[in-house]
Amino acid sequence: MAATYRRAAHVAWRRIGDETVCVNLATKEMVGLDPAGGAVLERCAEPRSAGELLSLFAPGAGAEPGALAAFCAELADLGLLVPLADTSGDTAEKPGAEGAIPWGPPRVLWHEPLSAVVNQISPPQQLGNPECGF
Amino acid sequence: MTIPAARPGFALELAGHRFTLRSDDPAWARRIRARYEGFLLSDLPAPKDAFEIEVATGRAVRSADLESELREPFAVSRRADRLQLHGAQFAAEADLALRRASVSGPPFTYPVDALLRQLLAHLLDDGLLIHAALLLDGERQAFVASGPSGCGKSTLAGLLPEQAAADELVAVRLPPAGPPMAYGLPFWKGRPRQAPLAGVHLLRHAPACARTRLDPAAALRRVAPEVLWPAGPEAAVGARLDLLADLIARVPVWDLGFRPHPEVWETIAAEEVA
Repeated sequence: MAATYRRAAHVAWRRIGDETVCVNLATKEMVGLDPAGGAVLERCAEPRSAGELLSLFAPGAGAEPGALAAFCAELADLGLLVPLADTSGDTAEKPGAEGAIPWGPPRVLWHEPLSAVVNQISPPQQLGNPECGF
Repeated sequence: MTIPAARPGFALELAGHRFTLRSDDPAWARRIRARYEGFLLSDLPAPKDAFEIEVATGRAVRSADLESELREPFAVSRRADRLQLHGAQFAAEADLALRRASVSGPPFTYPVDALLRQLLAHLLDDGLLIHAALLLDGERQAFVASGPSGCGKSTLAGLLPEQAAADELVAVRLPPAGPPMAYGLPFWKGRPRQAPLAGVHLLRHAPACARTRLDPAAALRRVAPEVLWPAGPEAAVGARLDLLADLIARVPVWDLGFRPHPEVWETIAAEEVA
């Protein structure tokens, strides 16, 4: 049995330049992905297994299902992908069947919490400030 | 959410968006009015497009509870057109389609501050709210100075009182035609000023003033965490990501090391050398 993953509904993302930038509204974090990682996230609009994701990559470049599976698990840990209950075996597709991304293990490039204070009132500006009623 | 018949109140404008605030509590109404004084429109009746906010006084609370509330992020959620805020001591609910909201809590200004900030993040569909100070070179050009807490936003605004139009939160709107525009907001020491945005500086303390232009990827990584993103839906957040990418493509973003001295203005306002 192979795990399948679907992109989480609470994730907004855009490809900006070479990176895919994700805003995770549930965890209040931002994540930057390299082109291969962004392609994986984009393809997971529908449930996909690592084997199915092989088709994103150029043939003959050594795309590794194990690396894809590990990356999907990493994105699931970050809340970007949702692991689904598996009901079937993995359907391995041939590299290059759909895309021609040069193979390199997909990577998370950066990972930042959204500034908590952005969502909050600055306490030093409020506490003890008579204009705020304190 | 039930909005009673019109009560006494006042209207204000933030980054081109108009709000009316009404309350049965005269003391609180006076306090809120004073809080937003520079941004007030003429007295009611308010413009027809104004977002109506009803303010109700909740129970009094201990100061220790208030301090705790101000230091903990409050919950923000959005489902369809309903926006809800929940703190330990206050609650607010807005209907973004009907353009109405209610807020209740202790009789301080922060519940209204919190609601207005969140409303702006959702209503500003052609722009972004950025955790930043705003510095103006008259009406000619504006500079956003951003970064995480402690980076020097308030320090910079305090050093440059003539130029400062905000020290915590700035609205940047990107009209289809014309340059991006930056707006001062009353969070905290803001003035109702606006000017074309000439650049974004990401602050850090340093022994001397010097700046380095960031490439788009680096700029994105550092500006994005300082945006006040709407609480959803995904499409609205995605649209703001597009706006952020557009902003970074249109204005230079700098890393600015500065020491607390007014000479930093010369660095900020310097023409870019090609």
